[in-house]
Amino acid sequence: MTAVAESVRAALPPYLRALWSGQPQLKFVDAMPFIDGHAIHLPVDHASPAGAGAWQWYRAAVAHSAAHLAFSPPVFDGRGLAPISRALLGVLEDARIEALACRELPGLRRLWMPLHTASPADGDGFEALLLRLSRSLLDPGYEDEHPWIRKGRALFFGDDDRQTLLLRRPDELRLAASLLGNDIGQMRLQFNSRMYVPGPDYRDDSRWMWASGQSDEPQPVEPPPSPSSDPGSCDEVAQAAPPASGPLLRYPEFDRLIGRLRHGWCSVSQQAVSAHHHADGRLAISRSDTQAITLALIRILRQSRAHRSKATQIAHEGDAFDTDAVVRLRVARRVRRANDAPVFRRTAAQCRRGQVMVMIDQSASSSDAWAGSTTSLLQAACAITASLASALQACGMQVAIAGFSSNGRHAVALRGVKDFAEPMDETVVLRLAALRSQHSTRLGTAIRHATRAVVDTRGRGSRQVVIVSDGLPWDVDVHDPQYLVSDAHDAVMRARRQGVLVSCLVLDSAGLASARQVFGARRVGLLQTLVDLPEQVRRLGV
Amino acid sequence: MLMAAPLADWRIGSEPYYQPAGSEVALFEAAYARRLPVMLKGPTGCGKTRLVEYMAWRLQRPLVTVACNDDLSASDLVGRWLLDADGTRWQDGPLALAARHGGICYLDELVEARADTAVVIHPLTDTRRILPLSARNELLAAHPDFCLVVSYNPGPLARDMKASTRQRFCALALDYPTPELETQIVATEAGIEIGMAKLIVGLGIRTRRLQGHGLDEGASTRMLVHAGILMAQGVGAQDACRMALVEALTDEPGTRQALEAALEASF
Repeated sequence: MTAVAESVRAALPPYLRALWSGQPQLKFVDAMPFIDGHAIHLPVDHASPAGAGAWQWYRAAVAHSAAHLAFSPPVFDGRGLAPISRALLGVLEDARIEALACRELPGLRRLWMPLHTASPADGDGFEALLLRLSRSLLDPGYEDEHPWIRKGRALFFGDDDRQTLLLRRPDELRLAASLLGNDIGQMRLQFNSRMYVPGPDYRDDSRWMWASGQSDEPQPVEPPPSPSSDPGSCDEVAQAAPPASGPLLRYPEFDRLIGRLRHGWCSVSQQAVSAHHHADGRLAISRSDTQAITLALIRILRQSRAHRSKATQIAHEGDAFDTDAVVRLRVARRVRRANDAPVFRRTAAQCRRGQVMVMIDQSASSSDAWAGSTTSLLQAACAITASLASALQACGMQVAIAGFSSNGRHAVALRGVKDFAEPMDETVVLRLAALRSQHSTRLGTAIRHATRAVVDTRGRGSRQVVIVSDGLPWDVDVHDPQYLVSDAHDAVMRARRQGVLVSCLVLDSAGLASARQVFGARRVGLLQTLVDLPEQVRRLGV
Repeated sequence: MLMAAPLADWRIGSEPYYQPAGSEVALFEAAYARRLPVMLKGPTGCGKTRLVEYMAWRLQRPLVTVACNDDLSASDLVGRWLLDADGTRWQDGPLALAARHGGICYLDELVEARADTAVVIHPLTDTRRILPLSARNELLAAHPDFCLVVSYNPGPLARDMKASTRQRFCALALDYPTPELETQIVATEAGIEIGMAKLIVGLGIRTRRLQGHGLDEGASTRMLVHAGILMAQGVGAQDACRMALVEALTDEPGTRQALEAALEASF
C-alpha cells in the first residue's frame, strides 16, 4: 500500500476545478471512494504503484465521483428494489454519467478503460457479470458475447455506435435495472448484498444514491481534524488576550458575504519585543547553519532581475551616445569652445533600492514541528527571516520585521522586531528568538498593516511584503473557512494596486492551497528545508 | 518631389479578421465620430488590439501603436531632438506623429507605463486636444482626425489606473467571446475544423476556471488560436495544446500537472 503522494494531493483540486466548474471538497480517509454531500472521499492509501500509477488512479476516482456530482440526481428512490436491482441501478448510473462525461471530455475514456479488466475468464457469477457489463458499457473495443451482457448493452445504447443513450431518467434506469435483475433471478445467481463492493475500485460505493436508512454501508471513520483547525483548542487560548501597548490602529476587513469592506473592523496593537526576555537568546537554527544560505541568497538576489536596475552614467566610453551630451558637444564645437565632455551613456547594474517588510506568523499552530523535524514552524520562520533580512540588507534593501498573531478582530497584535532603519544585528536576532507562538492568524489585517508600513516609508525602488507562515488564516471569531482567505486575498490585491508586491513563504504543505488562493500561485513558495530558501526567493523575485 | 504621407506605413493594408461579440464596433464608431478617447478593458488576448486594428481599417485611419512599459519615457512618446549632419533635428514620437497627422494612437497596456509618462496624454484627451512639446517650445494642436485609444487589462495583478487618467476615456469592456463565437474564431483564424476548434476552446475554458487557483489568468483566445495554428501545421492535438497552452501558462508543478491531466481528458 502506498500513501498518496503530496504532489498528487496538491494537483487533484486544480484538476477537478478545471474539469468541472464546481469545486467539490476532497477528503482523504481510511475507506474506498465515496461521496457524501458535496465532498468526495478518497482513500489515504491505495494499492497502486507510486508515481504515474497512483496519479492515474486518483484522477480516475475523482473524475468519476465529480461526474456524479455533475450529472446524477441527488438521490434515487430505492424503495421496492431488490438488492440485485439496486446493484444494477448503481452500475447503470455509473455507466451513464461516465458516458456523459466522455462526451465533454473524450480523454476520460482512456483514463478509465485500463482500470476495467473484467472478461469472460472471470466467470459468470453475478458480481463478475456486473464488472463485465460495466466494461462493456464503457469500452467500445470490448466484445462480450454473454447474452445478458448483450441485453444490458442493448438496453443502454440505442445504436451500435454506442452514441445514443437510452437511459436518461431515473425511472428509465430503474426499469432497466429491474429487467436485468429479473434475468439474474432466473439464472439463479447468488448475491450477497452485505459483501458487495461496486467495482472497479476507482468508482465510489454508490451510497449517495439511497436516501438515509436505505443503505447498509458502514460509515467511514474520518481522521480527527488537525490541531490548527480545531475550534476547541483555540477557545482555550482565546481567553488570554494580548496586552495592548502603543497606539491602537484600525484596519478594514473584506466581508465576502456582503462583497465589500467593513471599515475600522479590526483593531491592531503594536507591541515592542524585548531582546532580554529570552534567556537563551539564540535561534533554534544556528547562524553557522544559515550563513551558507545567506551567502547563496545574496548571490541569487544580486543576479535576480528584480534587483538589477539601470544606473545610467555619462562616460567617455559606453554603449550608446547620450543625445544631450552630444548636442552640448556639437554646440560647443560650433561656437569653437573646447569641450571634451563625455558623450557616451553607460548602463551599470546595481542593487535596486527598496523596502521589504517581513511578517512572521506567530499563531498557536506555529508551535507545530516543521516538516517532521525537531524545529518548530516559528523557530524555522525566525531563522528564515534572519537569513533573508541579512541578505536583503546586504543588497541594499531596507528591511523591517514584525511578528503577528490575533485573538479575534479586536485583538490583533503586531510585534515589531526590526525597523527599516535598524541594522540587522545581534539585537534583532535576540528579538526574533524571543517571539512565542500564541493565538490565531488574521492574515489580511497583517498584510494591510505591512502594506501601510512599506508605503509610509515613501522610499524609492521596489516595495514588498513577505509573509512567513503555515499559510492558513484562522481566528477565533470567524467560522467561515473562506472568510479570512478572501479578506487576505483582498488585502493582497489592494497592496498590489499601491505598488506593493506581497509574497508568502509557506512552511507547511497543508497550507499551500490556501496560500495560493490568497497570494496567487506565483507568489507562494513552499519551504520544507532551509536549503530551499534561495531557490524560492529567486522564484518569487523578492 | 512629393513627400510620402508621414503615416503611410502605419495604414492597415487589408481587412483584419475580427468577429464582433456585441455592439463594440458601433460604439467605437460613435466615439470616433466625436473623437472621444476610448479605453479598451479586458483580459490578456481577448481581442483588444485586433479590435483597434479592425476599427483603424474600417475608419481608414493610420494606426500608430505603442506597447507601454516601465521604461517608456515621456520623450519616447512625444519626441526628442536628434543630431544629423546639419546639427539638431526634431523627431516626433509616435504620439506627436499621430496627433500631428491625424492617426489613431493606440497605447497598449497604458498602466504599464510610469505615472509621469502617462500624464503627457492628458491635454490630448480633453476638449483642448493639444500636445505641448516643451523641448521644442511648440503647442501641437491635434489633427481633426486624431483619436487616442488605450488598452488596459484589469486583471487581479494589474496596477490601478489613476482616476485622473481613467476619467478621460469612454470605456469598452471586452471579454473572452462566448464558447460558440470563440470556436468560430479559432476555426477561422487557425484554419481548422469546427469540431477540433470546439475541443481547444473547451480546454481553454477549463484553464480559465483555474484563475485565482494556480493561474493568474486562464488561456487567452490568442493562445487557443496558436494551438489551432499548430494543429493546422500538422502537430497532434495534445502536443499543440501542450505547447500553446499548458507550457505557456505556468511553471508551477501542481498546476502544470493538473493542466496536463485536463489536457489528456479533453482529447
